[in-house]
Amino acid sequence: MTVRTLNDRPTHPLARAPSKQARQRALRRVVIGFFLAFYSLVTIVPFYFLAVRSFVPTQASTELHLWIPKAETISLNGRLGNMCTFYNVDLADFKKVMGIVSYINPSLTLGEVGQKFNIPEEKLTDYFQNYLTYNGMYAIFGSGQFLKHLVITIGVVAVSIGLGGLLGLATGSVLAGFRRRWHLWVYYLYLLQIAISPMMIILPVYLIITQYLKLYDNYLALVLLYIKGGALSTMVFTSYIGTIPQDLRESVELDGGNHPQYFYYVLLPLCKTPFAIYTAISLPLFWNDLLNGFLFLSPEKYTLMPLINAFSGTFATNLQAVYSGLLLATIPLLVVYLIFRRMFVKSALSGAIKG
Amino acid sequence: MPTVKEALSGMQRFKTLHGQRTFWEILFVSPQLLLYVALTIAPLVMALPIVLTDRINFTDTDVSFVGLRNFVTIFQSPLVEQFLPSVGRTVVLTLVGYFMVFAFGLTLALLLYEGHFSGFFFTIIYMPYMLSGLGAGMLLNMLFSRDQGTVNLLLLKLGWIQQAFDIKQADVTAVLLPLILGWRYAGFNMALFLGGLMTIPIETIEASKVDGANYLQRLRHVYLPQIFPSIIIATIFCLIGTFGIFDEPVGLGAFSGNRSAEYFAVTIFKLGFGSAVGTQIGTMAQGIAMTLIVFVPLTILATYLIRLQRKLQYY
Repeated sequence: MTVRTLNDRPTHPLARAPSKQARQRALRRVVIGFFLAFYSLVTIVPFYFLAVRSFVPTQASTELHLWIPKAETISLNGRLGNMCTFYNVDLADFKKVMGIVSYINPSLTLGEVGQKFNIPEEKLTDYFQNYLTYNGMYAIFGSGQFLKHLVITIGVVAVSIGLGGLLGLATGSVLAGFRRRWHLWVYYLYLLQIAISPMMIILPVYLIITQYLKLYDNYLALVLLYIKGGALSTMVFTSYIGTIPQDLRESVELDGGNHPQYFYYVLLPLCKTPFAIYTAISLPLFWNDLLNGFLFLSPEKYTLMPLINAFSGTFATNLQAVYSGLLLATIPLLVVYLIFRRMFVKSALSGAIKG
Repeated sequence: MPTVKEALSGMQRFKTLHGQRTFWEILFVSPQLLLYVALTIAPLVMALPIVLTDRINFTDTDVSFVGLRNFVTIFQSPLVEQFLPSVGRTVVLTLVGYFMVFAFGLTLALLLYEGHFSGFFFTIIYMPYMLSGLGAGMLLNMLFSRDQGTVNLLLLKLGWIQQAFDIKQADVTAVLLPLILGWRYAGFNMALFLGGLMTIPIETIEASKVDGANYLQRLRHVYLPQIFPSIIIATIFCLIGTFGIFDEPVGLGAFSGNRSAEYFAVTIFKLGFGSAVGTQIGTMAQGIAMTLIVFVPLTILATYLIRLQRKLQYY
């Protein structure tokens, strides 16, 4: 019998000197972490510059700006007409804010305008000051009608995700498990969509939507195109529902229920995860979609991305507005992404694994 | 004694469990299947009759049969000057972009895998995907335009370059666009490869370490063969995605006269919807002819790759 002495007692993990292997592992982790941190910084840089450029006046855009510049002070010697053109100001709006009703001669300087209509100097300079830094924002909310199109996009995307998820669940509820030969064939048909580029079929699809279905300039066209289902959504729902035991379905049938009841009482409550994954996949896809909105909607009814594309035409001289629009079109998605990031990460991984 | 089949004639069929199940299954599968077939499969078939005619655009009613002549005219002037450079540009983009998939995606996946990191870095690396393709193209202009590009101004100021990169030049675009694409899809590709790496049985890695393999040897002989299915999927997505790239060229100004940004999808768009963007350089039927020539082999290749991947997935 061996006698345990004090010297045989195992030492506490924290008191042990790290082995050479452990030190090497830790060092490797630090180095790798360093590279990843560097890449992370580089990845964010374009977003940062987009934010900065949204507040850099177009006139100053040929200079380097690494941060949002301090707006230069407005001189009261500038002529009103020139100032308005320079800062893309709407003269009618200026008059409304300043409370001027009568006609103003645009060749008057700001100082003279202030004297003539009894407007304090600060009010004039403040008004134009905002137009420097926030020019882009004013432009897109004013004549760009950004808010209206934002609401349109939210509506279209929300409806598409809801209906698309429902249809995807319906399809998955049938195909899961592949109990019949035709289930497998339908599944393969959906999988084919990976190999079909949207550009490949866009011309006939346009024909179908506009001439056979007569859905030009109708949001239904977009919604139908979004909910029609594809490889990724079908795979997600089918594989997830396939993991639900058949006993649940049989118990519904034993109780005299049929498929709709199985769907409504059993599947819908259980399938929050695949629905969340479907949302995480589809949200960027629908929100950032340019082709369909551009083709099937008139400019009045644009969703966000076609709108931003139109901006590069209507605000061709005011790049600040274009970048502001792009920034504001991306921020909602970024915010949702950061809040629900675990779901997005899961969706990316599941797309990889299932595929 | 009547057979089961005879007994189940007519509506009787729906009274059995099997029959009822089938009824509901068909009902639930149909809505999406109908939409899918009508909007994804049917268009493939519909393209064929149109390509054999001389249909100019969507409102053209005076359409006559021309046989296979469209396939000939697209290789003749003036269309061939749009068609071939556009395809060539797209092919080059796809090749460089394919390299970027591995440069960004595989590298990052290996880094995350070996460093046992997850959450935080994943979130940041995936973030560029939230920017739209249109935005990515506009970002390229914003950063690299000759007079106003932020990166140009920065590099000039630092003295690292003598002359600014001009994003409107074809060769500059050919390098920078794949970079932006790699940046944007880094998260997606990384997730793909990471998923593949996580399926590698760790004994294989340890065994190779015991056998004295260094990291590059491990990479070549243990990692890569075992993540081959992921590589195939990444290839499929890169191939199909890059060949049909549309949003980014539009962001680069393909519709405002930037000739270096005319990739294949833009050319097809201009042919099919020429009136919408102001230039009508050919007929819609010719556009479809081009589409078929380029995309049909691509789709066949991709379908083959899909089947290969599914076969390899369970070996």
